[in-house]
Amino acid sequence: MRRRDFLKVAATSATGAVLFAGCGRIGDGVPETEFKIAQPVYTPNDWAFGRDAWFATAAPPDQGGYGLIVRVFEGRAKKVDGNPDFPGVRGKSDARAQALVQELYHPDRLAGPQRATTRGSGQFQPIGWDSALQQVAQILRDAGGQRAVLITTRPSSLQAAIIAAFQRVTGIRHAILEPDELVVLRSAVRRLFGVSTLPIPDLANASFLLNFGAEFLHGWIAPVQLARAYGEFRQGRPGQRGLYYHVGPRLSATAANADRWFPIVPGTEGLIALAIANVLLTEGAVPRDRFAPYFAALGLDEARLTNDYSPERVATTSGLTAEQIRELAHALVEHEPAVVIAGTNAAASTNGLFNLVATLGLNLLLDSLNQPGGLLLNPEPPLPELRIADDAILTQRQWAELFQQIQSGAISTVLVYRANPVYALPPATGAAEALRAAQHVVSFSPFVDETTQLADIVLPDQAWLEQWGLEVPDPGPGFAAVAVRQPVVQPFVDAHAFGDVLIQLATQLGQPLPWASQEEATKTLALQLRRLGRGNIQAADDKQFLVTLQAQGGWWDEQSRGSGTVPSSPVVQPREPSFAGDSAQFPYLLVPYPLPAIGYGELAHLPWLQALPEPVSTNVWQSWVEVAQRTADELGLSTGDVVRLITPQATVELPVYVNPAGQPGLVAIPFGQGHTALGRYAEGRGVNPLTLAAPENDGDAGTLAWCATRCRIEKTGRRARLARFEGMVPAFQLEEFPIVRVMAPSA
Amino acid sequence: MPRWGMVIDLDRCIGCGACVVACQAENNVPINTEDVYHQRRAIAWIRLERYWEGEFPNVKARYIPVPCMQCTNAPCEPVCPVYATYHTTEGINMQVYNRCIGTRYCSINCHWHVRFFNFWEPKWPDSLKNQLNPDVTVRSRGVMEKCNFCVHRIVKAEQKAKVEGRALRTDEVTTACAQACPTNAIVFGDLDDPNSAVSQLLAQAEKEHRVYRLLEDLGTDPKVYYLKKIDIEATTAPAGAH
Amino acid sequence: MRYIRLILFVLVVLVVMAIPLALVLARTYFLSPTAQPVKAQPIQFPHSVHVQALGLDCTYCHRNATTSAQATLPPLELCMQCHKIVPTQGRPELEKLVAAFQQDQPILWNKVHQLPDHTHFVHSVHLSFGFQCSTCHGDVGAMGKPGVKQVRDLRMGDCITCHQQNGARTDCSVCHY
Repeated sequence: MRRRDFLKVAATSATGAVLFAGCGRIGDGVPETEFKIAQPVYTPNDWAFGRDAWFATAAPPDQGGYGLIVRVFEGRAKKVDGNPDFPGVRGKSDARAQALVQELYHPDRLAGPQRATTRGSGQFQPIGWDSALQQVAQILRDAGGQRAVLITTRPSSLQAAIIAAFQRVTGIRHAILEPDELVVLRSAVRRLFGVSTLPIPDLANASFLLNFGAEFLHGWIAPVQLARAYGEFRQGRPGQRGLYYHVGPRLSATAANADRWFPIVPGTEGLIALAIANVLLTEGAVPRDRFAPYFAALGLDEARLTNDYSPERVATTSGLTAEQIRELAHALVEHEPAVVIAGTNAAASTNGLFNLVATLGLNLLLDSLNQPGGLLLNPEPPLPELRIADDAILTQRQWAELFQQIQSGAISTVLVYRANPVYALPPATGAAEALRAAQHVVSFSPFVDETTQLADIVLPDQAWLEQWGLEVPDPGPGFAAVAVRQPVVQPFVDAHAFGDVLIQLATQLGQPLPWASQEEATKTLALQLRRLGRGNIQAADDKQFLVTLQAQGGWWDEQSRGSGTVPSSPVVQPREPSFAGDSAQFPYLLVPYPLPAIGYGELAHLPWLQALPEPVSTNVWQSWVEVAQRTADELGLSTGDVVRLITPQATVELPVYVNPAGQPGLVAIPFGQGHTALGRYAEGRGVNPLTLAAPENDGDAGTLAWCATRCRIEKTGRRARLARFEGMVPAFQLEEFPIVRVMAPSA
Repeated sequence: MPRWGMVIDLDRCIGCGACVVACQAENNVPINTEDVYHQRRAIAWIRLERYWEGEFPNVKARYIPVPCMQCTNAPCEPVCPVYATYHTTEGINMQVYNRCIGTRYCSINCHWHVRFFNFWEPKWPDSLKNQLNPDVTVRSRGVMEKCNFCVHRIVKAEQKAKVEGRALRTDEVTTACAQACPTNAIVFGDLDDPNSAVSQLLAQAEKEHRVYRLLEDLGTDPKVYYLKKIDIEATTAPAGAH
Repeated sequence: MRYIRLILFVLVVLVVMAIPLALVLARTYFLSPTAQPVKAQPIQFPHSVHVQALGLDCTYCHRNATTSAQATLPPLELCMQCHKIVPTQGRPELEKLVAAFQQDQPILWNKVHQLPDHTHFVHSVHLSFGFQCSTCHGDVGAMGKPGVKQVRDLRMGDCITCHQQNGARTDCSVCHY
């Protein structure tokens, strides 16, 4: 019995306390070990008694690949934070990085290689690594390189090097599954600026930011780098505060930070950009010679821009007034330096590529490219091996073709690494059917997700905190940078790093790769960085270089900056957005959006991220439908009512969240839920919006336009409890003492 | 003796929730499951609140992170019958878990609602227990818990300074939320040290009339200072505005 | 005789009330850490041989006492650095050590100095202020078989008294957080 129990009983009966106190025992831990001290046989090398060790490592590739430090105490990873030395992030991190420890110690992680009892049942039994590797090698030998495909998420730069080497010896095809918005963004950047790396806006020095829909503070391309720069943008310069205007259909978590929000019809971002260019041209606000590359990229000329895209014309389709469009154009030239970014919803319309080219192209008109406070281009990775092949990133259309080939038997063997096409692509793409039809499916995922459920053999990858690697942040900080990933703890379960498995498979196939392990590959390539003879690390010999690299967490060279070329063909013609479904039958536009914490659902298995409220609605752990206040009043809905959401594609029932900032005519729904696998924290919650979205493609990019479907909602008359943070504690909002106080800018 | 305080710049805050998760990771806060949210018993030592202003289309959603205010005259302290909550000499409003008997008087008396009661035994799957921070007590069922400015980090830094025979350096210690905050909106430090980041930030912001505290009219003298959000459409005059 | 019933009643009440009081006192006495018998250990480790006879310093084995919160036990490989040349024949306690090392089995010792729950004690700070190990642990170097005995109370009252005598802070948050 402990002191507080004692006091509790003592409060009720003084004598009773004495009689009961004797019966208890101190502490209620595990009796076998509670009062014991273990004397270990050896001191493992990751084990320092009673003291913290901080190891530098790198964030996963799809979270920006920046430098991290991890607190390790007695052999266990405790806390992840940003690497204070690493350029761009400087010691900062975000919720996703913090949750990396939960990936490491997740209760549903696969503890070792598994074989399906019956294919597709989702039931697995453990097998040994030796036999698992032999079986996979045999599968590859039988299939031959031509009839096998390796599907991955965006790999780390080192994994890309190993995959490329593996491809060279086996001839296997490599396909990368990335969120569609990023595929469009990469394509737009390549066409506009002629670079294959993503650019980064130099917010810390910018005066004005015009953002077309990009969720740049909540999980877009480099959330930590951009958020840190945003802090400086607002309050980092005494006497100067950056101004941020947001143009987009929703008041998203990011848009809520804007000084002004311009609600628009989804998909009209590009047209608005053209109208802005029209104003800049007709008013002579920017020199005429800057328009040439802009026209070249869009196949336009002066006459067409002035005649067809006047603010008045665009105003009718976009939902803005001509005055507002003029205001945006004027703001761009009044505040120097200004920068324009675009993404997320803007990229997910049927004219997504045009939207991004037209909006990001405004930077050409502002001459903000590679200028302080403008859009900084990033250089190619410092080593050619660390480059991720652009043509391996498939679009929705190419995925459909690939799955057709699998189903027809042209490809018999599918290897999947951490990618989850069954969940992340719409059902119409045919991923599930293709994988069922494939002769062999081998998964390397550390969790049993929807795709892994269809695998014969699973060779689980190690957690990101357990393996070696090199990571070129994409986008980088505007100059060459490489983060080094090193294991911060001994492997927690019997998993093997994906790179090691590929190397061992190549050896079994009789064609060994140049490296014996992922660790050796990391070190070999890291030493090639030394041979470049530049960068931040001064070292007398290789060993000192590696030690410094690991201690510092990375290599960077501030002199090596990116440069662009003029826009190349093919041209992206202006298009208006189109929406699937009859507008009479389906009066609302469906706007799905990625959640700040769990993104498109790839992080739905981490409980901290599931439990983190979506900032605007404060909902957690589920899916919901956001309707505007006016729509809700018309239909007689209130938060918590269950409605039937009907699209031409499917019908689902979900609770309503009445959003005071919702645009009438739009219905929003978050991505991320609707998992049927991926562990106890993800399964059986909510709805995957991809099942609702019509399989519309972007005509130019070939990507899925998930923001191009109409819908209607019907009342069911039922109510559901909506798990949410709002109302958890009573608010004390008084008129005379507002909680969040605001003031006008002082200058 | 330092006097710990915090400055939260609302113009920098983007509502990303990094502070919330960092705090959970640092302080062994149990996982807030869906059931816990339904019961309205979620524990968040620092939470992110969102307030609506105006109506569509001139609507604003404003974020504010709310940790414990660490009031100098804390209303939670005098009501505790067993002295489980008290003020340290360094100005932190501490909760002594092994004294607390769970009367919850303190949480009723806290106007900021930053005290959380463990209605259930905290539970983690066995493997996730490997992540628990050994410096922080896991609170059992029936005790109150709250933000304590990562006092274990402060104690550790002070002990390190003592072993090395020196005084605590300026800004040597920071809280988990301030360390994670990607926009540097949260800054932690010694209010009595004129060289500390919080003091300098406050001195600068006082000149711009940006400093306020939540419910400061109650007279509890909170040690968490907020810097007003800048709004280009705000009509209030910058000087002397409440 | 007139008051006998009253006196008897008072006596009985006193006796009844004394029973819990006696129980409290007895419990305090019997549960006092210093009153506990020496705990049985998996190996009867004689500190006296290592400290008095060989002259080893405490921190030779308890390496982290000066630098971290825990004094820590050394890994068995450190024991074996000497004990691979010390003959083990006919010495059952040493055979246990060698067996544990060869079988890769950690040894689970019974904790002797048990601090109260929810207490964070840091060795390094106390040692850096000039306290000797023996201030709290007594003359462990003279303790032979069967094992170490706790000689100091080490409960909260003891801690606070010492803190007050030495001008250390007595804030709850110094130890409880």
